[in-house]
Amino acid sequence: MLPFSSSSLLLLFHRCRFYKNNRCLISKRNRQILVDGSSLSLSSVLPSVRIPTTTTTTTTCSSLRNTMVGTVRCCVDQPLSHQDRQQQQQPQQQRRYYSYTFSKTTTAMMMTSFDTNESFHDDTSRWKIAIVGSGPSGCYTAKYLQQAIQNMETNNHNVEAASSSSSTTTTTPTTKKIRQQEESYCQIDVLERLPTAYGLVRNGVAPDHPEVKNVQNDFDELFSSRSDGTTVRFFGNVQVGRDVSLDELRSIYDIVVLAFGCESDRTLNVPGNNYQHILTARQFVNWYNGHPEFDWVGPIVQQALNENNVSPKNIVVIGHGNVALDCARILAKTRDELVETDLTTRALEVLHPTDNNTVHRNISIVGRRGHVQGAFTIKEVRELTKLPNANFVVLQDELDAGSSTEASQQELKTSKPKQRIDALLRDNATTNENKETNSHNVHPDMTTTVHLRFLLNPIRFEPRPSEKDVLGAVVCERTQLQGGTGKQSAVGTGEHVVLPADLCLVSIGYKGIPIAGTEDYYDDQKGILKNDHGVVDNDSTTTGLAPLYVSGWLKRGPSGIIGTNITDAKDTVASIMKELQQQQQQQQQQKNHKSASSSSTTLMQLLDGRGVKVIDWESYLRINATETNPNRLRSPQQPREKLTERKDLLQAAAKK
Amino acid sequence: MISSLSRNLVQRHLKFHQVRIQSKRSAPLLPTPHHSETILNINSNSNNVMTTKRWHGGPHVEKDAKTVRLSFIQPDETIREVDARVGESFLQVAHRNDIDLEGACEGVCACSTCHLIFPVEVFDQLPEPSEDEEDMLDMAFGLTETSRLGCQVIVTPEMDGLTVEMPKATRNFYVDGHVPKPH
Repeated sequence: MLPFSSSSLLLLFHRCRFYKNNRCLISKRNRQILVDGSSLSLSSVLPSVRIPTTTTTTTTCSSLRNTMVGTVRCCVDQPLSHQDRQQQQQPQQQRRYYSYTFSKTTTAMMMTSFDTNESFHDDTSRWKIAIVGSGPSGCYTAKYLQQAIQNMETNNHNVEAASSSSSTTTTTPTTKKIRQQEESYCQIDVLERLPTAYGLVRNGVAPDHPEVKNVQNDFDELFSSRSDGTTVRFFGNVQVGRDVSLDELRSIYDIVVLAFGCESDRTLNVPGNNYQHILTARQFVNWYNGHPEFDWVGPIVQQALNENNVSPKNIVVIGHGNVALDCARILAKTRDELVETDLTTRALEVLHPTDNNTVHRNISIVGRRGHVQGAFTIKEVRELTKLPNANFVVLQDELDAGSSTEASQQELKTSKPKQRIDALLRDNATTNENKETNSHNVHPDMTTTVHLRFLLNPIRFEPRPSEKDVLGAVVCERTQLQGGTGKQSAVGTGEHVVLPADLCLVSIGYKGIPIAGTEDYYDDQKGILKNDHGVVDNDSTTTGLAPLYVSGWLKRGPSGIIGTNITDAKDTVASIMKELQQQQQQQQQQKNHKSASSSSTTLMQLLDGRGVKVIDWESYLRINATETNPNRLRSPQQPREKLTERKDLLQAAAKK
Repeated sequence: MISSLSRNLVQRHLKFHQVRIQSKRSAPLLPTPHHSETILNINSNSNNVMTTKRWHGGPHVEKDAKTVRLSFIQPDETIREVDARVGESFLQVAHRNDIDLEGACEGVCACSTCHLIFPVEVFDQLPEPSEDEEDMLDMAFGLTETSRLGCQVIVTPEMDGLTVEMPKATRNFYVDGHVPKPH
């Protein structure tokens, strides 16, 4: 695909580095670069190449190298790309412009081609950083990086100002101009697979928790403000691994941060887990939140919840995390309780068809350990206890069994949050399962009940008697806790509990999966990328690629709340700043104060060349405007009606 | 040098707010209980500019309200002393003074990112936290016995001279505090 050998270009690049303080001559006419007598002939190295800037210039090798660190732009007169050769209709002589991008560190190189030289403009950004993923971890990483780099640059300026203040007191127009150029010292590009930003804030946070989504306003500012030379740009609808490879990113940017979270699930390996009407919570949540790739979940839920008009419908949610509780709550709420949320209409019509005002559901949330070990937090438990139109049942026996071990007592003693959950559950506990109606908060006229069950380990799924491939029941084994404090495990007792099920949501945890180029760093056991404080790979001596970092769930595993990403992002940013400071010192030693890092337009051009329709921030705002258009909303209180199909999203993003 | 720095800060501020005003039109806010709009008067060297602060939950306090001195011990151990208006929440004080205290839910007690640590004698004097606040605090990073949410504690005249601490997120803490969720 390259019009000439990349290795010869690299050789040239390294020679220049070697002779860095010697004089060299770039001769456009002779297509030669002369380095101290020994000449590197451009015609042998770069046939038909013209360096578009000037004619013959004398310069030092290090400035030549500087031109090459970053992007060498040139034009060639032969279309030699493989595709062109195959197509044959193309004229043999065609001028094309190429841009070669070298990573600052060494050998990596990136090529893009474009047809005019309009895009030949200098990019003055000193640092180029790509963040893959625009969820909370990606956005917080961008936010703190921006802050940290601004602080670093402010300090630099102050040091410079202090050292030069003795000589000059007034600012000359020239220095002012230089300042302005240096304003743009950092470019952070956030890449997102979907056309819409914010990852799990949009596709994970429950629709009835609108206040949690307020963090979007904070992130909006990141993309819409241009402050002090650092800009954060949004590259929506760009999938790393498909539209651009990770290695390409690592050649274009100085730093690449992976923050794409967990795109898969931990699997529940029990017999029958392939029956119909078994979904993972991630699929269910993505669907009701309008993720464009989870449209297919709708018909399954529809069939499980609404067929045959047999009531009540039994739903089993496996897992004791907040996601499990979210799923149960969304299923337990009535249409009236959900109509003013941003739950998609597509999902609302399935969960609560317009013609059916009453919900009659038995929702059981089961997990193999006790309430002291539950991963849920008290806010979500409390919401279940306060549902106005559903009963909440938790069994005293199960609470007692779970907290009776010495280890559980110890776990309770050392954790105030656990104590509060324990107290809340005991306040709401029912003493005997068969006498549910005796409990003070169980109202017989409520047709939906949420059962929070403990010490039940799902051991197999059973089909319906009539249909052999459709889920009929979840068989659980009663467990008891064994082991030391903080690491108790559930051991089966042999007693079986059969929970009838029309729908089962498996909510036992998300799992990170690698994208192409990260396989070497992937820890399959934990579903994360191996890292040290977010550093995945900062040894560019062998690969020549930009250092690779990770933050968020892909770094620490799928747990925690949005706020957890703040600490997490700061940790990764601290590691990145170490690297940037190192790079800066190296640059200063080489007296290249301004190193031309790779061109940011390169990613744009690269994607353009591949026909990728990039959703930039302006386009995203158009999607946002469409979704919040009052004409689309079910009620004035509904915050937005999400577009749930990719083509609609792209259409809304397009300029009117 | 100092004046150029502060000018810089002010300019940042202005850009920040101007942009905010624009984006507000396109992104209507979610309904939350106590939204109020604070008008902020920024004095720069050359001119006075009226601009709009982000909508944060919390009481609306006039800009000429009585002020007290408050100090924030920041995570890097540096101390910022600021003027706090009586009646504001601590989160509002922090944001108005560009202290890096997060308020992810915008001050409506739905996250724990504005967590602050109070001296015990002051903590005991504060009105009891609501159940919601307690629930949120349970998720707070680096929770202590005297932790409160900055959005829920209101500045009073008696607080003059008070020092509160922002939780530290040291790297060691990150490692030690990280417990992989067992399943």
